[in-house]
Amino acid sequence: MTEVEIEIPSRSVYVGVVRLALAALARTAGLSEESVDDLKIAVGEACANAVIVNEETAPDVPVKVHWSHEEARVVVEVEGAGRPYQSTEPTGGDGLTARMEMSVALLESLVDSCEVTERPDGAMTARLTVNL
Amino acid sequence: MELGIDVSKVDSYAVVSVSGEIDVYTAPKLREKLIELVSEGTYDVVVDLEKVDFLDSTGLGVLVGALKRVKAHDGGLALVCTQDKILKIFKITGLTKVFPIHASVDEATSG
Repeated sequence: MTEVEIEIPSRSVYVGVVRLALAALARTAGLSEESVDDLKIAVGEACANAVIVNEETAPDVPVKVHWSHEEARVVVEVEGAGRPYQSTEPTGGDGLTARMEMSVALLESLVDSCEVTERPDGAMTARLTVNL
Repeated sequence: MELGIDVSKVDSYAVVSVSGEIDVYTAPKLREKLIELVSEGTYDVVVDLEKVDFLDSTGLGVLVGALKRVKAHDGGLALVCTQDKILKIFKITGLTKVFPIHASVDEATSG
């Protein structure tokens, strides 16, 4: 198993750095270009979500991204420290709630599984799995 | 990871050609430009995404917001996009039913 961990400050400018790094790791793991693109979008979404909630509630805590590649699958875990996003607007708008809904749709479609778990301290981890 | 935005006029349309990555960091720059166009009285907008390498949910949110703004003035917002990887994002989020999507700027501005 190959493991890589990346930590970024909770600022949106660094999300692109994670996408680039993960795309390179995915190519190294032998994923097709289409799968690399899909994973890049999914990881970008998970990371942006973590940064957005961290910026609100825990701006000094970094976002951690953990990559692991086994023979049959790739697992990417994105760990934020912020509290889960609480919707304060009706659905169908063009604000953060609509963005989160589209983000969830992308996450659910582009990887084989996406589980979001809440840790005992209330922070969230998104676990993305791609079967090879 | 720079976002390029170039605005030109084709008949009554403002054609906004975007290049680079539209993501959580760069999307606010596009939002500002689109708001500026609407505040100047431009309500028929074409956003050309042919040179966009990456688009995320924040970028989609900016386009949806701009569509609402121009629609409030009886205008429209059409997209130009032929790249499969970008079209896929509109399909997954159901936005192919919301935006007219064209294969070229000529096609988008001929209606």
